[in-house]
Amino acid sequence: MLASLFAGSIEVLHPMCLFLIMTGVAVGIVFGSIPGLTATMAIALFLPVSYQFSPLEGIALLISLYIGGVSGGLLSAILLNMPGTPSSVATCFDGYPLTQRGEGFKALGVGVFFSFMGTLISILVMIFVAPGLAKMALNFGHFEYFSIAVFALTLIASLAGKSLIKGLLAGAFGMACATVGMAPIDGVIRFTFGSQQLSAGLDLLPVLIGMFALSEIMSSAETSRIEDDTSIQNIDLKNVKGFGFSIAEFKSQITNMFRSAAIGIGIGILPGIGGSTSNLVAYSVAKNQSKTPEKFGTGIIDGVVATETANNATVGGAMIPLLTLGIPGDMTTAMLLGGLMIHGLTPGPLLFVEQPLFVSGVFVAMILANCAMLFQEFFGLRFFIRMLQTPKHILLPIIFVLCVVGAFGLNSRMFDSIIVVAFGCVGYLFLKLKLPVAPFIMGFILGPMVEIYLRRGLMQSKGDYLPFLTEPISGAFLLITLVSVILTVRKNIRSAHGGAGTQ
Amino acid sequence: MRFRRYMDLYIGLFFLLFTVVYIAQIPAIRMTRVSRIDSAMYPKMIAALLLCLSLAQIYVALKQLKLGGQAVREEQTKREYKGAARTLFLAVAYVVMMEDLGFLISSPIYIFLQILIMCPLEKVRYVQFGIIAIVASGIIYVIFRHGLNLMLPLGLLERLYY
Repeated sequence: MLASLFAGSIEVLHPMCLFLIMTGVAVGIVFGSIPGLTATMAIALFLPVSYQFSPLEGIALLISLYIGGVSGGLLSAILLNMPGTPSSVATCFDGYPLTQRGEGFKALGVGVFFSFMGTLISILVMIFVAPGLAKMALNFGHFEYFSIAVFALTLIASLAGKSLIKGLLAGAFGMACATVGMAPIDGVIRFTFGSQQLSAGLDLLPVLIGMFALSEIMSSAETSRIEDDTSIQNIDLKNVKGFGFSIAEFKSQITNMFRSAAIGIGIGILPGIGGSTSNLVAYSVAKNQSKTPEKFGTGIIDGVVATETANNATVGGAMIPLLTLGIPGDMTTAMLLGGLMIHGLTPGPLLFVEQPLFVSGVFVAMILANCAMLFQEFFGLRFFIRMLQTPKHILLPIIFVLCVVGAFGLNSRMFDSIIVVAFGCVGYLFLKLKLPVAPFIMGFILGPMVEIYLRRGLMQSKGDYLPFLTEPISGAFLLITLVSVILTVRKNIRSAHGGAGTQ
Repeated sequence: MRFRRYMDLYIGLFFLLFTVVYIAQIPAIRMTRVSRIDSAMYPKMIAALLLCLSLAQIYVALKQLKLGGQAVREEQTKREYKGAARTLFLAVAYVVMMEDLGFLISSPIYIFLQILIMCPLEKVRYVQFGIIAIVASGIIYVIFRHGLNLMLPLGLLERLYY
């Protein structure tokens, strides 16, 4: 293995390939950091460009865009409370409160470093145990996916904040919003109120931009004229060294890091779930496992570590079924599959036999792209923070224009920009009514998965519900779900009694 | 103050209203024989969940009000809600009119007006803000239209040229 990696590195350590990796990561970071633009868009735009290079150079460029794009989302999430990509939604929860406290540099440093670690762990897993993991993922059918989605939905309870009912309401509201448009399996149109545009359903990206970006701008517009200080945050850059956190803080996060990386890799391997779910799941698991769960959401590094490790670990996880079986797990890896195919390469077990040098080259290119991401974001930290000194009355309107353009770019139609504004109102309402946004996002992402796998499973079992319980993996997940629900209810009853007792 | 006192109740009522509208739409879902369960079953499950939860929320809120209401803390930051309302109005106008006016006309106007809405009165600089709005919109247009081949709407300008 090491010999083939060495041979692969000789292929990659070519000036042109290194230049493409550096450029790809830089462009990816820019795409990731702008709300509305994603790694998928960057890859789609650069797919034709990659054709003029050798297969390894072309794929190295696309993979660098992917790694830079996923990581770049943390910048706007931490500095502006607007997730740059759906993968960095949960980064806002603790990253932005840290920035508000003047610890934005530390939050960014933690985010960048653990993004690097997340990607690195997932690449190492990919190199050494990819085929075995991919075969295991193949055993997952509709019953298993349904049970996993139901289990992930129960995590809404841990993201609910102070009131469980409000959190569950927000989650159910997200699930209801996701039913708009064409139903899975039979394509029946639902909840469109006669609108042709709504038939395609609501895309995650405009919903996210609206919920976070526009509501944040509206909220800022309430205070920006009154407050004396017009910059978004003042962050003291004096006496800041390295990544802004200590070795003791790093040591305290090792368990969190490996647990979140495992979640990210696991979710990445399973087709159709992806980074937008892994960051929320890792965040809620870290909160549940923490000795101080009440501190989550107030600005602690544990939350940033969990989300950034998990969403970047999803990159390596998603590459496993792509390279070993030729199965793309999401839109981004489907683009990468296209990139491989236009160079005449068919991913799958044969690729490892016929093109070992190419596969090793891809592994080395991923490691180098990860190092380039760490290098570029580390040296850009001070620059990103200086951006915050731009008065918010100038920065936020320009960001909103970028959001609208990003939403428009999804399907080249203005309707997606209108969705941004509509969900901006919903986000603002959530803010004013102090409703948690995370359960809404979780319900919106996982709701369609629950429906599609429930219906597919029932088609497979000819209407019998029993296989959901009797299939070993599916049954195990449903059992874990049941235990999780019982524990959550018990915890809530206890805290309600405790609260009543102290009053 | 009054709003915050009744906030939990308003949340329950808001979701109850949403649930009623949602349920009212379910009979309009066309039935097919493609799948064992039809496309209305899952929405019915969500509707039942929403109904139970919103009623529970209303019950908890009313119980809390009966006990004397939730503790309401006075917010430290002063807020001007007109700013939020103007921002929303401007955002709606911007996305609705972009197709007709075109990106290159609607975006500078949006940025300029939004800056004026958010800028403290003593710091207003009309010329400077105008230049920022035009330059920022121009740069975004060039990057997306020519760099990334995104066909942003030209609107009025298209009609003038062609």
